[in-house]
Amino acid sequence: MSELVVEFRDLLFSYRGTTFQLELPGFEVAARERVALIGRSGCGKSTLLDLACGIKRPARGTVRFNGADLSGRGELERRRTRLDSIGLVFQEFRLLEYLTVLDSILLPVRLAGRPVTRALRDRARELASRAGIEHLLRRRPHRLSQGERQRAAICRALVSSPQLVLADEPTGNLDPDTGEAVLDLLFEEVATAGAALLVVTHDHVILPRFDRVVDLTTENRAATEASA
Amino acid sequence: MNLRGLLNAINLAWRHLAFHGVRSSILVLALGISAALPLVIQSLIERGETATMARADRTPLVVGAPGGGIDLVLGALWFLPEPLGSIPSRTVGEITDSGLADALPLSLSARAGGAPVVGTDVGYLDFRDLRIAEGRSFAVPGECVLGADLAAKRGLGPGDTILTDPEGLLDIGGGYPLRLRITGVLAPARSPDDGAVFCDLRTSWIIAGHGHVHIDLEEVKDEPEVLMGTSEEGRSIASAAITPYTELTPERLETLHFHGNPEDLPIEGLVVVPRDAKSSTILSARLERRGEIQLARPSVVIAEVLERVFKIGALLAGILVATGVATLAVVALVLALSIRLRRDELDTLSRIGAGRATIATLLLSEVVILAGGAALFALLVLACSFSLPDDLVLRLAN
Repeated sequence: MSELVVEFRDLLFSYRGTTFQLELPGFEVAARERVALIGRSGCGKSTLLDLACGIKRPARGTVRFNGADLSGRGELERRRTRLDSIGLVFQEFRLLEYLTVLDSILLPVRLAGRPVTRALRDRARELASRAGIEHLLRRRPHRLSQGERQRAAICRALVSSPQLVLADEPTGNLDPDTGEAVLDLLFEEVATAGAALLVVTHDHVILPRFDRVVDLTTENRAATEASA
Repeated sequence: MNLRGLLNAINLAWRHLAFHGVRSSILVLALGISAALPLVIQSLIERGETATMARADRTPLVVGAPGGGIDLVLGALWFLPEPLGSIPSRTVGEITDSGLADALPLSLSARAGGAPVVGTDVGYLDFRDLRIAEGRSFAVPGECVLGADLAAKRGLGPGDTILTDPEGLLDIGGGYPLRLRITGVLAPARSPDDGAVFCDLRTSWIIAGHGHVHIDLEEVKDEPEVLMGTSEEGRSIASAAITPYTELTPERLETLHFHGNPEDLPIEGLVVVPRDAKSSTILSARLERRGEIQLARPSVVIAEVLERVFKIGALLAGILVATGVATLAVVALVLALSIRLRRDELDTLSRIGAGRATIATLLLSEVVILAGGAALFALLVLACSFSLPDDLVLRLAN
């Protein structure tokens, strides 16, 4: 197996005031690997994505990113890692209504406090061009179709050349044809960027396109024990 | 957060505000007006007070019929239309003859198209430093000069005429309007004098019906509605047709006469200009002993009036400050609600990697930009109020 981008060891996470628990003895994603995460609603798929990018911290165990302990770092460092090395794609796109497509794509750069250089603008344009939305760069989200919005969101996730892209049901709000096209784009761009891809999905039709499919319903030891 | 991060956060804040331009503008205007209004009101009141006091200070004493001192001063200095009691015109001579002061008569009962017709003598124009800009001063009954504003507003100048108002539109037995010949226009004085008609005291008495001229029927022989015909003795027979107005021609002036002793004819006020402080004291003591007249010091009377106005102004400013605080509270509420509505957006920023400091800077920047815009707008409003011409403020004050 090639170098691991993200690995979970002896992971335990729970939400306060609920009975939910996520317990994973071990789970990892290698560089350039495309992994689909499936499972029943509420089994912890989205929570695992939040743990992978440092939005949440486990109660026990470690989350390592590029070999370094991410979960043990402070919030500032985890945010920095997210901004610099991890791209996020959401089911509901989450584009800011007041930003044009170009500014939306460059948002992670601005949030990282980096100057928006000509090279970065060119990269944003190039990504938009490959996503087929180069003619929409000056438009705001309310003037885009659902598919165009998700394409813009994918460009935003890739602008910082991340090593890991996390996508939470990226085709969940799209019709099948548009979803297929968006997934093509996501796979192509992740491959071009040489990043690993971890996708949460309920759509079993697309599973053959992944290198590996992980069913969290069975992998989550806490959920398994509860159902037993 | 580094400087670039700060600038990027401000950039995002600006874009958010610009996207919601109407809402942002309303907030800026509401805040700006709330901040500016108390200051503008205060400034205008102060300027108005200064201007009002200046005219009062330049008028040492006024004399009139017993009654309210405020009415007398407002009538004598600002020519307000409220009717004043009258005193006999001989008072002018009595004061002048004392050698203690000059006395300038004011007959204030007539109006011309709503503008005050001030019957006085040319000494009043000198006293108020009123310079003739066009034409010449009035010299004989029937002539007048106009204040600069009145002349400009009505498009009148030397050689034109102006008609005085009838005493009552339905009173056909009352005094006829008098057509005054305009002999001159005064230079702008930025005072109530700019809106007045000035004429000889006798002219005012004619307007009031205390004196009249006779019209030679030969003058109207071509007017059939006035001249009915000729008697067997060759005398002209005049009709009862109403002459719409009277005009004092040089020929008619030869027949001018007053009913009664001119010294008993009424004036509404007198501006008294003592020779010096001692003369003022002596004269004041003498006049105050006389029960049939009233003596008022405009500076004292107006200071009392302004003190009341100032209290009202302070109350108004207080109300406006309270309104401003309420507006501020509403704006704060709007912003707080806006942040709540933006929870998804802020969550997105946080998930992508924005730190609490970045998000706080973003929100704070929006508040600062709005406050800055409001401050600029308030300064603009203030600058506009400061640049209001003095004469406009005076007009507001007067």
